[in-house]
Amino acid sequence: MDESIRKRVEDQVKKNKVFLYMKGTPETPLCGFSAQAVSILKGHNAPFQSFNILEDEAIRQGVKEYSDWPTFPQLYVKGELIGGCDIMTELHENGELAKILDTAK
Amino acid sequence: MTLDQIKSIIEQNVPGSTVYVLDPMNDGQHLQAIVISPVFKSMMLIKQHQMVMKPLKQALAQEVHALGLKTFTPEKWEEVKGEFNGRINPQTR
Repeated sequence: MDESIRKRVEDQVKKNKVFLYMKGTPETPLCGFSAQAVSILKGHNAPFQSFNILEDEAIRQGVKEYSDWPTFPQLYVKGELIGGCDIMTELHENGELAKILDTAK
Repeated sequence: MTLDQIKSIIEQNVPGSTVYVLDPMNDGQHLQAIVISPVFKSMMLIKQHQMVMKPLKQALAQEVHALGLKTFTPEKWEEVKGEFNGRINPQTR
């Protein structure tokens, strides 16, 4: 991966405590899974930053390589990949996501 | 890629695993895998999923639209398996 892309991704996930790579924006998600991820985070009243990967192909490919995870959305908390929509949903339902988001407050 | 092929790739890559591969919509495109293994203990969920998905990535990208995934330790599986009653076809074991 290009070093400048790797650095951009690393900055995004490390400088923002809760960060979501998604398709579209929190106001206008362009995929049902991204919409669900946003809705879960909003349900926890968790402030988060996001990036629309549909607007930057280099970042889109870079994130996939950085995380070794092939799909979007991707949620990062304190620089660590937590998961995509399925994992977020499961962690939300079993109470783990609340604990993880608490560590970022 | 048949359900049995997916099952066997997962079994080869996740030590001590019990694997069920389901085709809940009967379309061969939206599959679900349930993977139970003691190695998942103390692994974050994302790491469990990566362990299952990585060896499948190439095959799935070409032929399967989506694979929903549930991973459990044997202890957790004992608690939750009732929820899957009726959805697990004995023939896919």
